[in-house]
Amino acid sequence: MKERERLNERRAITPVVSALILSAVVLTIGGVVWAFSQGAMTISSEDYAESVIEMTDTISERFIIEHVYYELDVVPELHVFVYNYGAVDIEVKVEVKGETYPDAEETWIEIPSKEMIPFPNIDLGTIPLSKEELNIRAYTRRGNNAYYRYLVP
Amino acid sequence: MPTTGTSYRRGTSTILGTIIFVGIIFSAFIPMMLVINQADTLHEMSKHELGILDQERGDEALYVYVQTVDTAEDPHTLIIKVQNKGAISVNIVRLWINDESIELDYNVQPMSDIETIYSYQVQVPEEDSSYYIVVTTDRGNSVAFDTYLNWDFDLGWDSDIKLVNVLINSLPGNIFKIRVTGPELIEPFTYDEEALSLKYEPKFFDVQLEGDYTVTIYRGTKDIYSEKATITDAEPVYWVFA
Repeated sequence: MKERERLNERRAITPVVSALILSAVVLTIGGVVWAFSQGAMTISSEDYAESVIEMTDTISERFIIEHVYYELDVVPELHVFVYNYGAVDIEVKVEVKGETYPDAEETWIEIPSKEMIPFPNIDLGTIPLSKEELNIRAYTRRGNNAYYRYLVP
Repeated sequence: MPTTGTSYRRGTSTILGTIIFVGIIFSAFIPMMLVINQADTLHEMSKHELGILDQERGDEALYVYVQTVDTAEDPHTLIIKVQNKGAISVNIVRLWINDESIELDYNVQPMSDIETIYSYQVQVPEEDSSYYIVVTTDRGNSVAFDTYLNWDFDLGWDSDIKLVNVLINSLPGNIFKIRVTGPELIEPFTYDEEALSLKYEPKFFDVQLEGDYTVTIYRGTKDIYSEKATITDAEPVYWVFA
């Protein structure tokens, strides 16, 4: 009888220990899930915000080819003036007769917002004929285009 | 109520799990939704602003006129004038005279009178050289003075081209006859010209003199539209849209 009572007294410790263990497990797993979900959601929201900002910048681009003239000098050159009238800075290349300027793949001409940049003089290689029509395309790194049709005098 | 046993332990875990779940909701999910909503709101605002910018760009109604002067005080000078016939103000940022650009910052109020924005003196005019004038606004519109100006050593500025232009785009029918007569105060009219026109086909009448002209549009023999066109040195080109 005494032995049974002693065992009953000892059994009282087990529920406390198991409750503590279970709580510790719940807290640990919960903490991991919490940390993971917080990290994942922070990354997701940052990615989303960045992609929305990038998309907003893309649709915010506004630019025109404002003026073009051809100078038959010692080296015949085409002068192209691109005006960025939008609210975001842009990076531009110009394409004339299938050739891209600047031709280096990673070289873009930066045009700050509300500014016009005279494009670096474009050497067409061959002298265009008088009355020849040049279709000029300016395009940005974000993929927007502006066109200009120039009739060589 | 048992304080020991399986149900008690389950209860503790449930409370802890709920606290953690609520914590995740408040510290991760809700901030994420707020950031996403804020980004969406900014995107929508940008779209709205761009829509307004594009609409205002289309609504700009700036007209450019060039007056030629050749006096002792102002030898071989081009006086560039503008008129804003639109309902929004226009800011001019640049003036092109042939291939030379001049930076400007000139605001033209809506429904303005004709205002002088620049006086350009041609230093050494070349014989028979032409001058093509373009004005650029900060909304990205380029407006040209739509007749060439020539300098001639014998005649001076040769800019007597005065045009009444007619574009039929809303009258019913396809083929029209346009008659332009005038100037009103000179009898008989020194200018009396007729031309056939298709719808959407612009017609140009070089009237040469200042004054009030009458533009009459006929379909068959019936006159269906009439408008007075006033030509001045400051406004040498008049458009009739019918």
